[in-house]
Amino acid sequence: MKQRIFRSLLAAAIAGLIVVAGAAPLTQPGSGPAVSSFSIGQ
Amino acid sequence: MTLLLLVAALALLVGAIAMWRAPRLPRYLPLLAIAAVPQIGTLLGLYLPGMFWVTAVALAAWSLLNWRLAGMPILALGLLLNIAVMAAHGGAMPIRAEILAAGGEVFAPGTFLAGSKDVVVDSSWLWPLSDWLALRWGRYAIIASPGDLLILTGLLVWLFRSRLSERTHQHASESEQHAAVAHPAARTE
Repeated sequence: MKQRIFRSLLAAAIAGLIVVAGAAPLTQPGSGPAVSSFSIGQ
Repeated sequence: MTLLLLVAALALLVGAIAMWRAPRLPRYLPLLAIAAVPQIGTLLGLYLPGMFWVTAVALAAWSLLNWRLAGMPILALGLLLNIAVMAAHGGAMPIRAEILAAGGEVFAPGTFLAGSKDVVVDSSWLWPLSDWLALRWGRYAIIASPGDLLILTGLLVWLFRSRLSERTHQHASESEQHAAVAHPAARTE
């Protein structure tokens, strides 16, 4: 049981890392105003 | 910060499903941690364009090393699509100004949005890979890219199929053993 809990926590951490590292969704309204501007993506 | 809360909620959900399904876990987790660090920095406002490539290389290596895991090809395709469009925009995910305007937020093109990986653009030749798939309820919305959806799909396949794959493999092994017992001469060379 302990091992199952450990593995599920590890699975949660893995999913979190995958989403943080690879996914890029945006939530609206944003968490704050724009922080800065860049001359990229134009 | 909203995005980080969303990630935490998703991680908790995955943890709960994993408790039930007990999926086979991927290996080489330090690579995943290395890939995540620059992106956490970006979400917290520490945007370093060059660090994007650390994420890209680490994610590519991690995906290839875990290629045989259920769901990994779908997940890797999602990562590849996101990395491709972000690489073309200096390491940031483009989002068209008109998509944001539909939710009542107006930003000038070139603006990097706080708490996200997104940069506002007028247009992009890679726009089909950018954040444009909006799930709206009231004044709230989650705007995702096709790559994000593939990553989510890959995660679900991993959660629900990796254990199943092991069972299938185990079943195949048992069948082979059964055949060997039933026909021992077939194993004699």
